[in-house]
Amino acid sequence: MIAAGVFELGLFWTCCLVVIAGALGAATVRNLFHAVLLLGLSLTGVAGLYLYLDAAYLACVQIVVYVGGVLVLILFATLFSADVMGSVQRAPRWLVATGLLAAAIAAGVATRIAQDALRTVSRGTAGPAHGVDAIGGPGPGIGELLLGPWLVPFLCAGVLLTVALIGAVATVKRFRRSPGARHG
Amino acid sequence: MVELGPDGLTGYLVAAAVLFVAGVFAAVARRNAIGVLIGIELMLNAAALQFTAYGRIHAATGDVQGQTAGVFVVVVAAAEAVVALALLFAVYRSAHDIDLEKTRELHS
Amino acid sequence: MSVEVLSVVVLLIPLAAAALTARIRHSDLAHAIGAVAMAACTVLAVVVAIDVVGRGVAVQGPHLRWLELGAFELGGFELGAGTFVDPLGAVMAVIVTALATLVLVFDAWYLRGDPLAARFPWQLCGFAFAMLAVVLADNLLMAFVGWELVGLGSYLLIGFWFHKPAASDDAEYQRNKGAGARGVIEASLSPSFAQQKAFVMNRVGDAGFLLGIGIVLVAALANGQRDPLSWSSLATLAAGGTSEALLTLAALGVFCGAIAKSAQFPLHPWLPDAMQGPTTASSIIHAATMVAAGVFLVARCEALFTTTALDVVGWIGGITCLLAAAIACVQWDLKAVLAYSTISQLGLMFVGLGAGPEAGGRAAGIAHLFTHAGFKCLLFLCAGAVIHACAGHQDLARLGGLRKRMPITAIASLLAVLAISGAPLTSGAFSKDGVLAAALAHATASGGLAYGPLVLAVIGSLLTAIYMFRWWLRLFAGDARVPDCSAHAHDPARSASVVLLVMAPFTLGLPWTFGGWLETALSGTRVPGAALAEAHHTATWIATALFVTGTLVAFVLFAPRSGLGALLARRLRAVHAACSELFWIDRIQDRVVARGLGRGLARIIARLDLGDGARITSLDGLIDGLGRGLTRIGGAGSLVHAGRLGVYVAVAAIAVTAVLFAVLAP
Repeated sequence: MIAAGVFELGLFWTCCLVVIAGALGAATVRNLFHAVLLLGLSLTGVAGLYLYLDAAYLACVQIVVYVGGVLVLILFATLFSADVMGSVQRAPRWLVATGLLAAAIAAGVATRIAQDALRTVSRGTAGPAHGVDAIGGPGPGIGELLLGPWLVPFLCAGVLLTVALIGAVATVKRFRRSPGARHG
Repeated sequence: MVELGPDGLTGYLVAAAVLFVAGVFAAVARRNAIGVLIGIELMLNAAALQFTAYGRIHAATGDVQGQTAGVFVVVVAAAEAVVALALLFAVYRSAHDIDLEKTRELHS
Repeated sequence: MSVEVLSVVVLLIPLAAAALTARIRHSDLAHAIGAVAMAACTVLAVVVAIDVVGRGVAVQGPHLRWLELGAFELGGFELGAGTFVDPLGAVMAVIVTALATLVLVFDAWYLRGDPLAARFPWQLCGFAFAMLAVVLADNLLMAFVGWELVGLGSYLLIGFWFHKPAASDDAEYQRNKGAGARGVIEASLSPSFAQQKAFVMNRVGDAGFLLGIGIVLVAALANGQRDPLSWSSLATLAAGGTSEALLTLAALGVFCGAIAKSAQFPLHPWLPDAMQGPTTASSIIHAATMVAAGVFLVARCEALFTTTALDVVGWIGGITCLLAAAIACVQWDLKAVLAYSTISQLGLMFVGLGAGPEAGGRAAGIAHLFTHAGFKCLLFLCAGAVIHACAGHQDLARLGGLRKRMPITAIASLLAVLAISGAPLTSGAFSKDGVLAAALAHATASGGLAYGPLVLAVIGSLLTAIYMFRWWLRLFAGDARVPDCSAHAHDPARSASVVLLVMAPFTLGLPWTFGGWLETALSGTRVPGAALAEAHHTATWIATALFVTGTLVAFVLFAPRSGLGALLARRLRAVHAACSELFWIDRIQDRVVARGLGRGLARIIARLDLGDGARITSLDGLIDGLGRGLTRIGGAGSLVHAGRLGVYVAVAAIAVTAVLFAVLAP
């Protein structure tokens, strides 16, 4: 893809910008509904970046599970909020300050990690092998990995999902209580 | 130019870093529980993106381990979203709101 | 069943009876069950006694090992509980169980109609069990356990009417009280106070007792005894196992406990106050159980008592005998006279015990304990009958002429009075002779100061005859002084009168001297020496002379329509006042110990405990300060844990970053 045209480069950077703008917007926009939509935009951008990384499968998963599943869940969750528009209650100033501090520190760490990574790569070990479809490539595919060396984590992930589902039901369901007890 | 294109790390790293920083900020500074949830999703995505990017650029040809880790991140995110939603529902039921500044009391 | 097993059964029947009757609310039923159980127990005790006394042996019953410390080869030892029956214990057990039975029968009538009456049987049965545990114990430890249980039993019975107010606030008491009862501190004369007083005073004695046990334990262990507290171990120690001084110390410790239990000077004031309980309870406390325990234990531990210790015993006994007899002469409460007479007679027993085994002191003292149990119990039951008949009146100045209205009571109590005064052919004469003979023999043998207890006992005995006849004459002779008090008086109901009639023969000498069984049982086959026989001869004359003199004096002074008693009281105003004021012992103890020492100590402890509340110089302040400090720390912590999720996330994020930096920065 070195020979990729300006169009492709532009598209790539558009993806990056969408991700960045979506994330910043989702984090800062006062209207909660807008924030969720912006989050969806950002997640879609990430899916695009996955495509550039030859991770078509992950991109699909990102779209289907994240944008299609998780995001919808969160959208439902906004119904709980009394103040979706964010017009009544603003975050207190000290909370924003704390957030900025934490964000600054996180930015420091991220920069540091990125620098480290870039230095290692520029020392020139490997670049992407072109023209090889990752999914059908010479190495093992994701499915083989998941059922091979990653089997135990894979099973754990399954258990995690099951437990999460049961836990969610247990949390939400109203259990019959003794008659005198107050219903929470 | 390579570094800045789709074959270089820089673009992905910048995007992931912004995702992460924005996530941290949202998780800390949002007073609405959904805002916090959004922040967490952003951070998780940053992590998944980093995994995949490093796996693609850094590792040997055809290695999809990074992607696999990304898949796991998505799984974890899904589980987290479900549990978070249930928790929000429980909080809502007891406090009739999910404003974290209002639901500070540990009442039943 | 063998005697060994039977002794255990005798010990446990009262406990079972107590457990059984404790749940029964119906008074008559509870009394009946208790009486039947105790009667069965009496029969078994008699069987045991006939066997043991007849053979003249001591029987070691089953022994339960309780505590084994260390290996025997390495100087370890064991403590346990078991029964031990010798003639002394066997006869005592019979007396305890028999009196408990009779008192229960009498009490069923006496307490009829009292809302608390159903509580009496189980307390009495438990009391009897405790006393039997002392009597049948095979070692000092078990005896001590029983000893403490006896204290508990008396505590319960003295405070039987626990809700009664202090005498100074009790209108009924004020209306009925004796005119001359001035020495009593009425503000602190209520059942609940009296039971505490008895308990605390016994604690003082028990401290000494425990010390004595400790000394015996240490000495016996040093001597290599396996079962250091058993009676045989005590005998071994006394036979040369340890030094004389240590032995004396141990004996005085045991005697200290006996002083408190048997109400000897200076720890006697609890016994007169114990009259706050029902009269039936007094009758058992004064006869068979509580006060008898002290005398019994001193006799049981006789081996420990060196000459020095015996001298102390004799002197304390003599002083108490005279002191209490003098006080009894001027009391106006009919129960108070009997209470002080008990103290005096117990003193007499200790005079006997103090004379030492060579002079036959142990046998004499114990014989007096037995006979005294009989007639004193009878006296108290008669007193109960009188109080019951006269609607709670106890004042000797108001009651009178009861012999016509209560003939059975009058005769029974006259027999008991004769016995306690030492009239010839009564049981009292038999045992009092013995005590005086032992004291005389001891004094003759030792000379000098050893005459002290004898003289005190002789004067005390003279006074005994005087105050007991004063008591009887004022109650039963002459005419009713204040007719209202005794207008409806009559003998107790048939069941209770039978009890009096059953007990009456035992005031005579014959049941005790028949075939010389008691003497043989107590002194074994030891043939009394010529000196002792001589002393006994003299003592008989002395005792008879004392009885005759005392009775005559009493008749002269206190016969109906005789003003001589009052005249004498005016002439001997100082002595009379001292006696009336109980020799100020009660007041001094109240002032110095209870108020001075006790309150001073309490104030210091209160200061240490409560402080002024603010500073942490006191326990209370320290705890409060601790609490305040923790609250402050928690308050500081709660600022961080304000429930703000954002803050938590921020802290978590910052912490993770810090860790990451630490890891990544090489």
